[in-house]
Amino acid sequence: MQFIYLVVIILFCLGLYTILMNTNLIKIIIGINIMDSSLVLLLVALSYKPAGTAPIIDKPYSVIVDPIPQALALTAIVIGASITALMLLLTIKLHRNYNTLDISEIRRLRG
Amino acid sequence: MRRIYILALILILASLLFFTFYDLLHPTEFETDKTQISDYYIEHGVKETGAINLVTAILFDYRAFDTLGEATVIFIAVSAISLLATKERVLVSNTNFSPIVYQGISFIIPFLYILAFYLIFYGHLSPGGGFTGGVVIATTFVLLKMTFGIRYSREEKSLQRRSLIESCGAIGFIIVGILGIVRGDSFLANGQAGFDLGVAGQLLSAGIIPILNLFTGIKVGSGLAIIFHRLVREE
Amino acid sequence: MITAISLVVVPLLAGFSFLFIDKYLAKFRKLFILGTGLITLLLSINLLIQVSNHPLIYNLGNWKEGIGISLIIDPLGGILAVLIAFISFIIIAYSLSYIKNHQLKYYTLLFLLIAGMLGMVLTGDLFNLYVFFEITSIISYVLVAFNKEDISFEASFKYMIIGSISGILILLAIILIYQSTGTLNLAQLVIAARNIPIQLKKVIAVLILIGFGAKFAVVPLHTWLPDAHSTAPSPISALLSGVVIKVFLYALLRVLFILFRIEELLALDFNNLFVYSGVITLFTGHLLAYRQDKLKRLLAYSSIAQIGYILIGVGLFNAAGLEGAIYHVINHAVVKGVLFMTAGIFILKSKKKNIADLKGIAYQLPLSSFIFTISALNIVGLPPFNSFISKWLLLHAALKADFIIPASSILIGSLISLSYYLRIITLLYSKVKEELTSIKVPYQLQLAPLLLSLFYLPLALFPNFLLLLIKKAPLFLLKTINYYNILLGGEEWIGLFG
Repeated sequence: MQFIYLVVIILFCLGLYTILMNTNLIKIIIGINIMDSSLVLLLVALSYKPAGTAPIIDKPYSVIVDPIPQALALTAIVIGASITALMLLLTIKLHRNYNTLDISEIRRLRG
Repeated sequence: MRRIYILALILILASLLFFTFYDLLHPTEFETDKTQISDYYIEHGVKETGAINLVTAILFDYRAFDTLGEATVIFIAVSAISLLATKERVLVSNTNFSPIVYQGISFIIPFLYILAFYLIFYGHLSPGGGFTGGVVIATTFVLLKMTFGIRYSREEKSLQRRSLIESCGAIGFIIVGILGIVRGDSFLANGQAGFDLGVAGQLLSAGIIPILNLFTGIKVGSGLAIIFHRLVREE
Repeated sequence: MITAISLVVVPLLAGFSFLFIDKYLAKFRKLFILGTGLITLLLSINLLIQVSNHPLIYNLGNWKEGIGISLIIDPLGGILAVLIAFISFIIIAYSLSYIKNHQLKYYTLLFLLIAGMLGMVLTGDLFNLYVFFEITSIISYVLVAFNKEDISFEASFKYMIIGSISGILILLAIILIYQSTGTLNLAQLVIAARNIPIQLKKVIAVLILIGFGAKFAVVPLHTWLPDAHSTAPSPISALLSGVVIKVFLYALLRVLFILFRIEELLALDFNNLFVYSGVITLFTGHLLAYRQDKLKRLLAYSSIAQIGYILIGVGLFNAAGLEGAIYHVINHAVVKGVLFMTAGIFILKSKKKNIADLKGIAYQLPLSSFIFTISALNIVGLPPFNSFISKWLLLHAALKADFIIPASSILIGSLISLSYYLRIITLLYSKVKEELTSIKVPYQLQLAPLLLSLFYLPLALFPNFLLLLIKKAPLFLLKTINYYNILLGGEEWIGLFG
């Protein structure tokens, strides 16, 4: 088990912990972002091969890392960024309406 | 009490992930030909797509449909933010910077554009591509607006123009895809539809990949600029 | 062949170019909106006719399967595509007279939502499925907040948090699947997934169950749905309740059955998990619906309950259960669409959301109230209607598989729903002294629900025609080797018990 996978696990769990423990909207968004980033790190780590070069073949290399996870990572980043932008916008809206960022005070919808 | 439940949940999750990754990285009985496809890309990618950057080859040729989806996601975010953000004028900032900042920003902008278009056009040859280049284009708008402030009178018009440009980028992407069908092949076909792949490693090569890169760059650049403008007007 | 891809590209292109139409060709705007919906519908019907006998595969960019992205369309995908296109067309027609402001963004997002859902049911690539999954989810979050009220922002935020966590879990599952098999093509995964060690498979199953389960509101993860579906504009509620949650359920089933063979699923007791979570979902939905005093919230809880019925049918893991479930998916999409659209008319008329305020509205809106009454009795599952047929099929399948408690809960659940729908119907038709409001409801608004409710008739009278189509679906969903054989271009399908 390489060290980097431990980092991925720690980041993933840390993100979930942040989401579950905090009532602040911004911190919840940060938690979701941490979880997202941990998956990007996982993708990059999985594509790695010892002594591999980046998948740009300007001359013949012997070991080249797996290019697919890198392409998937880009997609994951773009989607994560779009969701983050939307969540931040809603946070602004909620803050303007309720004048607080605490989710326990905002909750009017129940049941 | 809640804290203990959550900690227990997190610990269970962590151990689950630990054993999962352990399984994944120490394959015992299932040593399969699982790297088959990435090997295929590495072996044939340059020849089949004309792009020496394999990540770009995957993004804009082998899996170009995913990239269209990504572009759609950004388009959605932009539409959503334009929809939900308030339209009335909000005072942003009237900070006055020193002349050094104004001069420095004015000086740096052309170089940023050069960098952006370098990233876009050399996307199939070196790290970069439409998304990265588009982000750099968006930063120029951000820098300009941060330093020179926002003039509201012309604002709404320029935003509309920008969303037209963004739509153009997205439509262009699809039209390039449809060209593949028109030329008797399938959607988003590159080499198979007879587009000239050129000599791998040259600027004008790889068929539709640089064109798709350009459209994506335009789309992402204007899209992110709109997102910034809409969000910065909210308080 | 070209129908398959154009089914995704047409709404996508319509969404991208709607800005230009709105700006430069404003005269043709209505025509453009309706035309896109109609073209999508016709294309989907054409596709269904094609795939009902010969499932087809469309390779994007003409790459070999597994190298590029392929669309793989089997009968179930075709049926769902027609359902999506049909309900969307009706919703578009309804929206034309319902949505008055922000039309530009509304239709842009609506077209892209249709494209996202169609992409999800047509795609044959795991990561592509994720991309379309996120497109569908993000637009759902946004359209929930479309009214720009406090509660709609709040509901949207709640949905967004749960939705993004579920998206992350699904992405993790996809990464694990890719890393352990080396392919993303769904059909190739049928073979490749056999090599995944069972321990890892279980983890992946848990991830996708939680991930997709949160999206179609299986019970412990249902909290966002009533808020989201009740605060959205009515046409969007109809679309979200009618088709969007079913599409997420489809994605789960597709991935789950590809990863596991039926024998493995039965050995791991997944059938009990599905059926009993279905029972819990059913009762939670019905009992909470009983307590609601807002009309749209009640309908949203009723949708959760209907997901419970569908889960019971799916969880039997046999052809009979799946057929009942798919028929119920179709019935619920049609009926709940009508219910939400008429509820939208009521709310537009009375400007109030509580059920109690709708007292006597039937005398002012006779047609809408009649349609609402018919639909409510329909969704309860009373004999002459089409929902009765699908519930009967589910009941029959559950009894045959010796699931006595789920089978009886189907009956009890229907009784509970009868009680709360009757409460609304009696309120609608009770006499009041004064006029409620003088707000005029445009006549065209009632056309769309009327048109959709006319389809109860064929669904109830000629179920065999549809069942003939539906019978082909389990062949590819349960016997995934058939799904793999689509790749090889085979024409001979292995029967379910052969």
